[in-house]
Amino acid sequence: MSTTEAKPEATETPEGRNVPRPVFTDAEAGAKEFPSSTSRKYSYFEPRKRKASVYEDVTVDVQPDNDRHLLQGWIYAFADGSSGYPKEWTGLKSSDWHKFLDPNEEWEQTIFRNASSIVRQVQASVANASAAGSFETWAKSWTRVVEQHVGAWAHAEHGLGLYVYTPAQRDGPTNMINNALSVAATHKLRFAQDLILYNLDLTDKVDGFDGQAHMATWQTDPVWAGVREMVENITATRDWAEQFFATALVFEPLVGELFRSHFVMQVAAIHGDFVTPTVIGGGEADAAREQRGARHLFELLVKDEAHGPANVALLDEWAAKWAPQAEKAARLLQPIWSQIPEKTLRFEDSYDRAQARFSSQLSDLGISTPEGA
Amino acid sequence: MSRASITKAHEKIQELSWDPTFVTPVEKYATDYTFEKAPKKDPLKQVLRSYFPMEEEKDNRVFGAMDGAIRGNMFRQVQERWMEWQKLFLAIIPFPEISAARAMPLAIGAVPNPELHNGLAIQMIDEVRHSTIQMNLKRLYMNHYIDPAGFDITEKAFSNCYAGTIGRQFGEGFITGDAITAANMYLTIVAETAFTNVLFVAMPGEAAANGDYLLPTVFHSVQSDESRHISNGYSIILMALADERNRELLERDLRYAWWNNHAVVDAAIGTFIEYGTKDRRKERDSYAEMWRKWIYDDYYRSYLLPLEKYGLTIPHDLVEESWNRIWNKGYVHETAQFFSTGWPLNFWRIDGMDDTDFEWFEHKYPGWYDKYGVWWERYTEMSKKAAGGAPITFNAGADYEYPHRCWSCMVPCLIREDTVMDEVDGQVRTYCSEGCHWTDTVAFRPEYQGRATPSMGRLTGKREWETMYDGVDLAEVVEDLGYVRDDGKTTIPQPHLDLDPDKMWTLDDLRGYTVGSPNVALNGLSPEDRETAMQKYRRGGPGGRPAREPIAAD
Amino acid sequence: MGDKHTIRLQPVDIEFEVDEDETILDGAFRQGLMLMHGCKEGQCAACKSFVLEGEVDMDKYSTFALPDFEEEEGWTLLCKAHAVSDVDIELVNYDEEVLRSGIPTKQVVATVAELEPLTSDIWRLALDLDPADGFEYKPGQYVDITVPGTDDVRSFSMASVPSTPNRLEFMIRHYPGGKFAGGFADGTLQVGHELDVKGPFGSFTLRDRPERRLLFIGGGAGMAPIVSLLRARREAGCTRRSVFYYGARGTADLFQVDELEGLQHQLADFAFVPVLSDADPGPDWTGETGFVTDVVARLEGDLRDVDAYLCGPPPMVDAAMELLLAQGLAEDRIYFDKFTTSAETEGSSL
Repeated sequence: MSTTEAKPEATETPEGRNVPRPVFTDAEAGAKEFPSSTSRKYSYFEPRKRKASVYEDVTVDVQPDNDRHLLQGWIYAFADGSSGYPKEWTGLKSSDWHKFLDPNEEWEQTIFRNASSIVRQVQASVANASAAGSFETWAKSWTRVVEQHVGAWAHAEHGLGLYVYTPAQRDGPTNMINNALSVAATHKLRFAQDLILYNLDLTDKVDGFDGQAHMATWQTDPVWAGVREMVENITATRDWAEQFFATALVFEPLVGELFRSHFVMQVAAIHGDFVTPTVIGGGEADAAREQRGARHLFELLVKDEAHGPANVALLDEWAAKWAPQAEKAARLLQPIWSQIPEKTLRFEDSYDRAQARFSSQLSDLGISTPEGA
Repeated sequence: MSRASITKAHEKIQELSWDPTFVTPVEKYATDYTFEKAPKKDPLKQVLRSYFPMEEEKDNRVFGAMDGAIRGNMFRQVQERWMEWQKLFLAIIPFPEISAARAMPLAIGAVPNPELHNGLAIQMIDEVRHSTIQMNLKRLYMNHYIDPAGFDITEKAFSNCYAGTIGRQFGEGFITGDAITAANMYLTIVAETAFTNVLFVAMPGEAAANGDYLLPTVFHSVQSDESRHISNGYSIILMALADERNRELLERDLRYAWWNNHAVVDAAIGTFIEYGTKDRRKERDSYAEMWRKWIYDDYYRSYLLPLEKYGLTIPHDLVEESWNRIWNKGYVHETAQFFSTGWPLNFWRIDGMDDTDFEWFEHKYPGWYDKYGVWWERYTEMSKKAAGGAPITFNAGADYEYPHRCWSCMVPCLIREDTVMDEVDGQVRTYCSEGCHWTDTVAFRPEYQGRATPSMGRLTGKREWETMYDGVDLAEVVEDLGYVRDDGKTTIPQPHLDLDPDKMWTLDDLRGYTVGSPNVALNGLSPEDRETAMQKYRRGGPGGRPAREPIAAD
Repeated sequence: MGDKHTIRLQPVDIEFEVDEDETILDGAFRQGLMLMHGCKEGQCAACKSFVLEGEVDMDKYSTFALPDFEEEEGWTLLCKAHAVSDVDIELVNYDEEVLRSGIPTKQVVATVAELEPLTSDIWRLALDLDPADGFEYKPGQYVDITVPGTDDVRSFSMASVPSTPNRLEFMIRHYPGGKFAGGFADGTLQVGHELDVKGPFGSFTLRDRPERRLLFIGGGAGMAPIVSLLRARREAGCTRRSVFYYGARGTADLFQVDELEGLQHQLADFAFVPVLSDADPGPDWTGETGFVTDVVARLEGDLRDVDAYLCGPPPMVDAAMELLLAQGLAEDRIYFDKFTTSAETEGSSL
């Protein structure tokens, strides 16, 4: 029987207001001692450290798994009989997919904090630059680079966010993997919008800035055909891990960093532009987080006791499939390097740096760098 | 941002989409629906650079309230009766939330409209937020409520408890099967637009009445994102209605989604609200009254009916029958009684009903006492282990026949006279209703009304929980499930709220009773015996009473 | 019962009366208006809207759904708002087609009844409908017609009015290479042939605002929906002051002139102003010349008191928009149907 009683007539307050009345129940932690009265941690998983982080507590096992605690199995199936989060949705295999925990420990609060601070920073930079009149000093040729090429880049981020990471977060076998992928999607979607709204700001603030040019550049300029082709090819890939690999470990270092880190970030300042690097910088930081997650996931898979060698073989195949596409995309971008007035940077130098990072990430994982890449 | 600049920004971000030329998009998630490209707008014009700061602000308020609740010793006034049911509710709900996030690419892949894709992607981000913020609320309960047992095994218990499996439909149903059936019809049009009202409006109200103002804070912050989701769903259903070829599919899916949501959500939320509260003011709306207002009037009459003239076939019969089950057939009462009958297999404690409760039930549901009152008196009696008797589950004195399970919704066949028995896919199955029988035998099949439906999902899994432990001793079952406290013997589930260790049931008190599967037993009978047994079963109830008189031999 | 007030919904321009005792949302439902809503408890924000003018009182609601700063800006939740004066509300979350027309779309089979050239590149097409289909539409709306033998559809606005039931009339421009209108010229589409028609669509319908004068600007086949609106006004005996500027190249490109000039006598206070863009329209032409928008700019003064309806090729609509905005007309007073101009879509109006 319950111990605290609130009789219905007792809920009538003197003023005749009919509202629930607080009752002293003393149901707070520590009020009594009894079996499990101090059992105050989620006990169904092994935390990475002694004490589980908030990230682990709110993420681990929210997506059930027959390999974990799921007793009756998945109760809905697709027409082909596969159900839940089929492990067959990637060719890679793991002895325990649940070993993956996002090294960035992203959960709800961190996502909104990071994203809010970036959008605020971007808007403040644009406002400051505008107030200082610094857009007026931009050289025409640099303006063209920003309106066409930085604008075109927004499409690549949008495509990867909406049609690669967003679908991929349905597919992974654990909540921790899918959570990391949905955070990546969130980043990419925001970055794409940051870029395109920056383009809108510039249309208003920079004389002669063509806010529509980015569309034709992305869709018809041969310089961007390789990037677009690779992005489209990744969107049309069924294997989520292959999508993640191709995006984070092939496209990002060879194409993303080539254009963002080794071109825009290097040359903007000497053209009097300190705003574009702020916008691009937000995306750079996100991409670095995604790569950290990807390296951790693929490292677990290549070191898997049972499946490591088979995984390495498949990753080698993927590298051989995607690296040439990325290389082609990268090389087609070369003409952009000669469209800027201050030619302080050679394409080959930028490319070598991108390539070196690409190779070192793969070799750290024991994956062969494809010939020619 | 001003509204004018949001409109302009929203138009600008539409420039990001393009039609691929190098590849044809891969159909990751199949659907039998067809959509023409249509210029449907995303009416909400959501732009991420205003979205993130807005959500961050909501978050700050939620976390501020959490600090305040702890500083203000909120748990000194929360009702244990209510909090115990939160162990089940909060075990279930983060999964539907995260499943809704996972469902978004199903809708994106099916609907050829880039402007809507943006809205759907933002819904994905919302749902990630909802899932984790609810997990975090539960973590706070575990840390600050008197009895953490049950919260501490939450996701494991969700995965292995029969009640978790029932709740799992409200989640798995969003992400598996035909992409539009799952992500639009089941998730958005029915679950979110109709049934979240009882979830997100009724639950917080009841929580507050029971001393908990954190659940309202978290759930209001969640509910305030709902406008986006309702809007996404509405745009897609209008697009689907524009194509004649979708008419039968829409009809099928609205029937399935309505009936399954009713069966699952009304069972669970109805029980939490009617049997989990201590607020017995006569003025408090009963679940039936809330349902009539939010689901019947606000959803069925003001949302669904206007779509009829656009060619949507509305399942009027099922809407009326849902109400009939709630109002006349005691659906919620039967469910609460079932949960309580099976208390040793739960991972929370269930408080018995007392005179104050009886009075309220009789006032709200005239005739309640005659059907259920005596049983609840026995429940209280049999909750005392000092009596040395069997738990009510296995106590012949309970006058309760353990029910068959519904193969479709997995809530048992509690309204005995409605039970349907049929041999399907080589197995004798039972269903709680015609609606659920239709779901398994007609809707979830590769053909519907003569047309091929190759993308439609299937019902799968070990759908009768009891099959998993057929013939196993009750104590072993509880141990295997992991529903044991840290002394290794006291069980997490208890049929009362008394935390005196001497009065708490242990594994030893549950030994000697064998769990049996009604479905295995039924399949073991000859066809004639089966028919006889089923006829007798149908004549049982209400309140789970076995049928008394034998069948007239003619 | 409390006081009654008038609610005006923008930008769809629907008016209805509410009682102070009821919420604005309930008042709308009572009138059969399906406004977007969710919980009706002030929590989900699906009915969040903007108060342009007037005052509302709010019942209890969740500050997550409507934070204080938003309320101060003028936002409200219709499910919790009571009007205490006449109120102008801007809807944010709505489907205009559903809200405005309230006419469900249908897929029907129509028979070609008449087909004749009006100018060198604009054709008149009339279709007969099966009365059993009960096809309905509002003046200014359009339908999709499937190009015979393909899955492609083209959108065309009706020039006809609903009071002539079971007969739809169109004015269709034939662009070189156009698949649908190409069939008129080469004879592959003939009287008696059947066409798949789906509709109606669109919200280029007349807003009832008697105090504001009407300004129609059209070009090419964009005449069709405007003719429909004008014919409907003639039938309704509407007395709103109105003018129709119509741009064409030369005299040979003008059509429907007799009816439009006749309307100047049939409609109170209506003027038809054809404008030719040809540098030399010939000696017989005594009317206006140049770009239609330039003529509007020259002849019209203050445009702040008009409701403008624009239909024609995008350059014309864009130029007209720019002009009207520059003349101080609020954006939500401009209604337009823009053609897509590629041969692919054949001057369909969407």
